[in-house]
Amino acid sequence: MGGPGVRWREAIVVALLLTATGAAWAEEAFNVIGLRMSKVTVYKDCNMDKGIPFTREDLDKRKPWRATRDSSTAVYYWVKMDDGNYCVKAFAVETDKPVPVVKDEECHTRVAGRPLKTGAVRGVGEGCSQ
Amino acid sequence: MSSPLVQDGSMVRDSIVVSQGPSATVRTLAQFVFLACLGALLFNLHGISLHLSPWSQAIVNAIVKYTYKPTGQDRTLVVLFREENLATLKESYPISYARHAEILEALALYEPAAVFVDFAFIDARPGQDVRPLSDAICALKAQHIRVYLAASPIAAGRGVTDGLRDGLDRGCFTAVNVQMDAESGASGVLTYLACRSVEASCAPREMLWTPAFQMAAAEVGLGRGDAEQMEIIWGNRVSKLNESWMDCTTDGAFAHLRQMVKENPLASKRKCPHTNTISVLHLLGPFDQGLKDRAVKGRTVFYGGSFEMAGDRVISPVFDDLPGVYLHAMAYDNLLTFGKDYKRAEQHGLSLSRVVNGLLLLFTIVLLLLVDKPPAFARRMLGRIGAISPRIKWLTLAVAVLCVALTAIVRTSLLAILLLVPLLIGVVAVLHLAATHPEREPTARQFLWSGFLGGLILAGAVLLFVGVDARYGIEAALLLVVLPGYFVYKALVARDVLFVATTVLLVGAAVVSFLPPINLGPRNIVAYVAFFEVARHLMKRAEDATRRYFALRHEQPAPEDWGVGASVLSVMDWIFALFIRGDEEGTDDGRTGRAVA
Repeated sequence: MGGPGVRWREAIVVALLLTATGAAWAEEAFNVIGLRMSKVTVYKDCNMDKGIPFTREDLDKRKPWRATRDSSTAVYYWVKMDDGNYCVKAFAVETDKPVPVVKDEECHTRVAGRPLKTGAVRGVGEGCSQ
Repeated sequence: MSSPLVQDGSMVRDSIVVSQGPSATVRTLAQFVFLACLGALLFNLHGISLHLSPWSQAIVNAIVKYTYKPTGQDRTLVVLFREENLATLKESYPISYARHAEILEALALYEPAAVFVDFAFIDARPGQDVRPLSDAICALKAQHIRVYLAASPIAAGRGVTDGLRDGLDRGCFTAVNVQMDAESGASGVLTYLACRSVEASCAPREMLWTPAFQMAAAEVGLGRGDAEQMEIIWGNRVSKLNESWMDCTTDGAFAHLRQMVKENPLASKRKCPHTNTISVLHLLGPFDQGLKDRAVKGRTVFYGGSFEMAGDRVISPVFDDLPGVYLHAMAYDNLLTFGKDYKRAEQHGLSLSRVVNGLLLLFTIVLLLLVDKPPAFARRMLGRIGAISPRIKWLTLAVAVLCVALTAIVRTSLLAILLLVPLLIGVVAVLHLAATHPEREPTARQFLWSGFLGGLILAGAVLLFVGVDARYGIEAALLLVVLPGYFVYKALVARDVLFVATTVLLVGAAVVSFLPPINLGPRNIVAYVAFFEVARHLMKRAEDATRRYFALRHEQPAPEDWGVGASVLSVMDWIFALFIRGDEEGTDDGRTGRAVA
């Protein structure tokens, strides 16, 4: 049975280990081995306006297709293509090993609440000066 | 004295013996009319039920928490697009068709049974192709997943078209009317339309149904002609899925106590919804087989949004303001849980709901007229019950207990009929008690003991409230501490057993109206009990004023002392006499009689 000081030290060590594991995972590569749909969209530099379709045939040509996690979100994986870095939606692809989510991005979210009362809605006045 | 007062021999202030004036029957009738008018005034114009609905609703919430079945909760899922998700997904508001399409594609992987999209695609958007969205919807249909899209409320109201933009393949989805009912005071939204309005029939095929009715109709066997406006029972079961990622902490027991005393028990509401929920980030993240099996596969998904400054919030009696999609999910949950016996809301005209409200008021008035000072005819009639053989009494009690047991054990659609028997027996028992129960003035020792007991009950209730609230929540504290505490106070300190009995009977009547085949929503019993107490107090005050009047009449009998003519005084005598309750007639059995004046 340790005192409060010992518990603090344990907590710090565990936190450091978890952080290190997360960082390592972010860097650690894995392979995309399949698409869950016949066609997915990949986005150059993760720009949503630069999406291009990607099919199972395209994947077959690239196997093993190496991917890395996005350090900021679990929604995308980063993949390399001929002309640069692309991101692909995590749900849409199968990987050769499970890619754990270090921490749910939605942790401690409040769904019910009392929003501030406002006298406007989105977009009021937008573009009026043009 | 120019004119005697009460026909049946009542005495006022030991001196006025009357032989004319209103009879006991006339007085009872006049008091009945007065109370009926007062009830109509309070329940309709002043809105006593509106003011007291938070208390009644809080009690309903507490009961629902422990009785609402998980049938609907297990089969319903909300997928929420939250304001914060926009930044993560590099998206802007309104969400692009491509993003919606992507979310529907992700949903398809999880194989739900049906998907309702709570976003209305009404206007064409420059620079955005709607085809990916239409394709995603049709892909769901191809997978035998039913899709429902929110129609334009204005167009749906006309019942001619769905009002949605061109380019969406109408063969792949069913349009539904997402019109929301008005809020009911502090309680929020308590009702849910079946289609456009309560006046119009939902039977015509061109009439768009609301999502919950449209999606559940086939599952519960609801025909188009059977749909009526619903009174939503806001379930408040714990969702383990929600607790795994949401912040569900409450304000704490002392905050609840303060808010309950300062405002009402609904001032502090629950933070986590009853309906299982995931966000679009959960859906778009790595595929989760466990989530699929546990919460999505074969379930009905309600896909909606929660955005700042976009409206679409629903105020409920149980939860802090929720995104509007939860209203449809809760109504659907109710339909799955209760099936065809879902709770019907109040309707315009002479509806069953209004009839039951009227009967409850009538029931309360009859108790008011009979409990404190029953007239001789009521005492005579009810006193005869005392002469019934004990064997018959025991048999009656056994029948009542059997009916309650059958109601609890047997699954029948006639529960209310079975419960009516003990309820009627209870009414007769209370009236009998009222007619024969002697009123006794407390001794000095009893008075002191009552005061001490009252203080003890109050202190114990506060301590218990804090403890139970901290451990089990405010609903349990209300149900297990506040209500029993008040009843114990009324029974032991105020020694008002009749109040307790009357309340129990009103609650019984509300339960009967809730169960099949009546199937009405919860009644506002607190308002009826409050009316019972207010009217009882008013009647006592009126009788005291009458006694004061007749005492003055005895002291100053001459009309000139009153400054009016003899005929006017005579009319006043008659009118004041109307407020005298009971009379001095004894029952057949002199022992059970009770003096009034």
